[in-house]
Amino acid sequence: MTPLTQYLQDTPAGTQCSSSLQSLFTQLEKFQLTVGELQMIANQRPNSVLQLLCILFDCERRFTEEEMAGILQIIDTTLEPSPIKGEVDMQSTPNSL
Amino acid sequence: MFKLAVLEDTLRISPERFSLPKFDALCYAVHRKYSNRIVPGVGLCVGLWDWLKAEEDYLHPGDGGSWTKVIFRLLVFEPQVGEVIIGRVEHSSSEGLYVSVDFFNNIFIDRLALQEPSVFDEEEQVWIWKYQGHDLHIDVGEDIRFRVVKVVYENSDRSSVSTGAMTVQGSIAGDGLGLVSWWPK
Repeated sequence: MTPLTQYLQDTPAGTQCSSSLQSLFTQLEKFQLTVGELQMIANQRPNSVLQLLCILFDCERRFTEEEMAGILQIIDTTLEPSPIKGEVDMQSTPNSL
Repeated sequence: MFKLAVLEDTLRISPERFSLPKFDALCYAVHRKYSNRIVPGVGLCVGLWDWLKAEEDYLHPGDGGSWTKVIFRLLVFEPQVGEVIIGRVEHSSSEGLYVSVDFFNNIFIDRLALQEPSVFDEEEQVWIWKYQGHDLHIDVGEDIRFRVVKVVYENSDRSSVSTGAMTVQGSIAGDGLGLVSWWPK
């Protein structure tokens, strides 16, 4: 379980909470994405069109450029920023200062 | 990547655990049998999720432990075909790439599923993608984005739980796939 929690904490999924995910899913409803696609978006927090092309099946046929930009915009505004690898967690340092 | 699997099993509580609350002892039995092990056709079991049903405990002649038939849900890791996952390069060979996510390291990308054209450097033991005149090395320790092609189980018997038998086959042949550093934002 520990390697698993460590792995998840290092992914974008590690900084999110259920309310931001709920907000994400509600706003993405109009695009009719599959459960698998929503899951990958939540886990990887794509921030470029190229990453969306990987994750969304048949992306170029289903969505226009504006719609893809719209999806990226929603992801950026609803989800917390990804954790930066190797960054010290400020909350866990001792309060000695 | 993860799913909940409903399993039915008959678990043994050994006599030294009779003093524990029943479900604590049953939890121990589930973890002992399933955690970090592979159930063929289901996936890698991470841990117990919840209990759905537990029947009465029975004793068998000659056995000091008690047996309970239970139905429970396990959190299981099994990537879906077509899913895109980010892992880390473990090592390379002329056959292909070996990738891991921290808790599971049996992910293999065949040499035919690499970006075209890729060559294997025998001296450095590393794969290189020759892209528009540039040599892009696939170094160990780098984050790599791959698509799941197939999940293979060694043993097809669903009733046997083992430690080694699941291989995830992946591919990095496609736009946006391969090392994360190859595709800046």
